Amino acid sequence: MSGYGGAALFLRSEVVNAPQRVVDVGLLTPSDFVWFLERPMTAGLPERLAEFFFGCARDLHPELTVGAVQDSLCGLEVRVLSSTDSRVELQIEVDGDTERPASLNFLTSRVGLTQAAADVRVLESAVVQDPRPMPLMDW
Amino acid sequence: MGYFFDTFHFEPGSRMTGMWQAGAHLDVGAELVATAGLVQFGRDQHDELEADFLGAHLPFHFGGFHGVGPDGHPWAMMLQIAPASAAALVGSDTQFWPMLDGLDRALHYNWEASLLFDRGFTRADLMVIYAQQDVEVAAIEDWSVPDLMLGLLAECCYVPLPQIVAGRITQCAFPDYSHECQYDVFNDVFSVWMTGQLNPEEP
Repeated sequence: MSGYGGAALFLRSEVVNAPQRVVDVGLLTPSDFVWFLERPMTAGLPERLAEFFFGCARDLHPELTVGAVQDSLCGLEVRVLSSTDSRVELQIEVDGDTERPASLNFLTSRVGLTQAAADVRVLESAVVQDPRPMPLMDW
Repeated sequence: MGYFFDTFHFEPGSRMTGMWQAGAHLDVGAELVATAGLVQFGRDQHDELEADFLGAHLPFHFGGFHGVGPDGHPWAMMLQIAPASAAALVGSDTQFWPMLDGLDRALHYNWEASLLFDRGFTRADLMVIYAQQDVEVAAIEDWSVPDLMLGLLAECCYVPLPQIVAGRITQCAFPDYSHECQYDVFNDVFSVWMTGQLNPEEP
């Protein structure tokens, strides 16, 4: 999900030890880009994030009406800080396992949040990595 | 219509929805070169948001304008200006390479975005564009590359280049029209366009 000023939140999921899904969380600013890799993901997190993003896009004052989404398993927390008619300010926090900042505040648009609400559901469709070795190419 | 609209193969029915200046601090005493890159975003992406996001990752970001195509695809024209000497610092033969490479790297952050067309401009190239629009070369002799690019950006607001050049002298783009004058021809055009009072000619 893109934000004004070059900020973005990246989420991508996969299955490492079926049926455990993991999620990679990326926080981007023009001066920094940090990934938190293979965080275990609670079932239903994509659905809760989708509802959160859509509520932020829909509600007049989401900072009053939309509750934060927390996932203690992956250490991700997303909350609304403020809003205008066209923009919403979000705060993303990730339990840090590095020395880099694990918190990001950014403004995004309500249009962007609507798209994020649809895109984030893709996290549910993570597939198991193929554990078989690559076939030898001995032609 | 305007140089950018005519040159970058915009589909009929494309609509400009906004523009911006990045407020770059440029040494106009040095030789400067510019690029313009037309980027198409994903169908459901927000043109204003994605253009702002992309611009924030361009090291030589100068400004641009964004809009929506007739098929619903949002797009943005990303304008950049850099010292001509920047290319030599990284060993490139092409003086536009630092800007083109910067745009290419920034596009990696939005996998739905793609570069449709781009073009580089020297000051001489920009002077030729103005001359082709019936502007006396003597009238823009002292214009810097940022000034010339701002003029082309202002032209996208449906104000002819000769009117912009004339307005630079009086610092008013619309002397015969009642408006809240900004006493700067470029900002004058941009502020009147923002009020929705400038429209393309009817076909």
